[in-house]
Amino acid sequence: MLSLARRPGQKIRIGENIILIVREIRGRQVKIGIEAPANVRVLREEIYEEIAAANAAASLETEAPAALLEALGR
Amino acid sequence: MKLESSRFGVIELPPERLFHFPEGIAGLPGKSWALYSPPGATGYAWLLSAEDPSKGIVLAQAQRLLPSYTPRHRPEEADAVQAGPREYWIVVRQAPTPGQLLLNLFAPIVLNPETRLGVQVPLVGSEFGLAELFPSEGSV
Repeated sequence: MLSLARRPGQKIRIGENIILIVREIRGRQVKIGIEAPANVRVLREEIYEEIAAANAAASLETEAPAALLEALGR
Repeated sequence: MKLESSRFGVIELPPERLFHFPEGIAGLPGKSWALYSPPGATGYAWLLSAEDPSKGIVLAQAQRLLPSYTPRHRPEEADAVQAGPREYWIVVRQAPTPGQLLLNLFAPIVLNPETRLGVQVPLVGSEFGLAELFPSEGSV
């Protein structure tokens, strides 16, 4: 993994279109600004991991839940 | 096209039921998925991996299951499916409590049947959760 030391106000450019800006460092928290094209998905890693876990749990179903069929009127 | 599934065996699907997910689906392998409606199924379908026969998730048509559900996001966040009609599907699983479901309302699956592209769009900042009980406790 590439590690770069940056100070508040300094930037990191990723490719042509993505720029990360260190906006503020306060205690143990760093505020990062992200400039990226609107179609580039930017997520906190923990949110991505939660979605992945939910999808993985959903993939364990072996049949359509009976409650779903009932809700859909079957 | 023929597709092998550990749940349904070998099934025959029209090519238009095959969707490419350029970003993949978080937590699941591969980018090629087939939307399969078992005989008699209405309002739901299986999204089956075309690459791993053991992988599949149940999707419910958002409009059928929850007509009041209004996923709001910037249009660009679903650019992966390109311009055209966008269908919203909800990932569904059985809740621990019998008779209830867990709905992922936070990250619906968006399918474009014209481009046959799909993407899962997290509704960041929304009030929706990844595992919403349905029917909700108050309505059981």
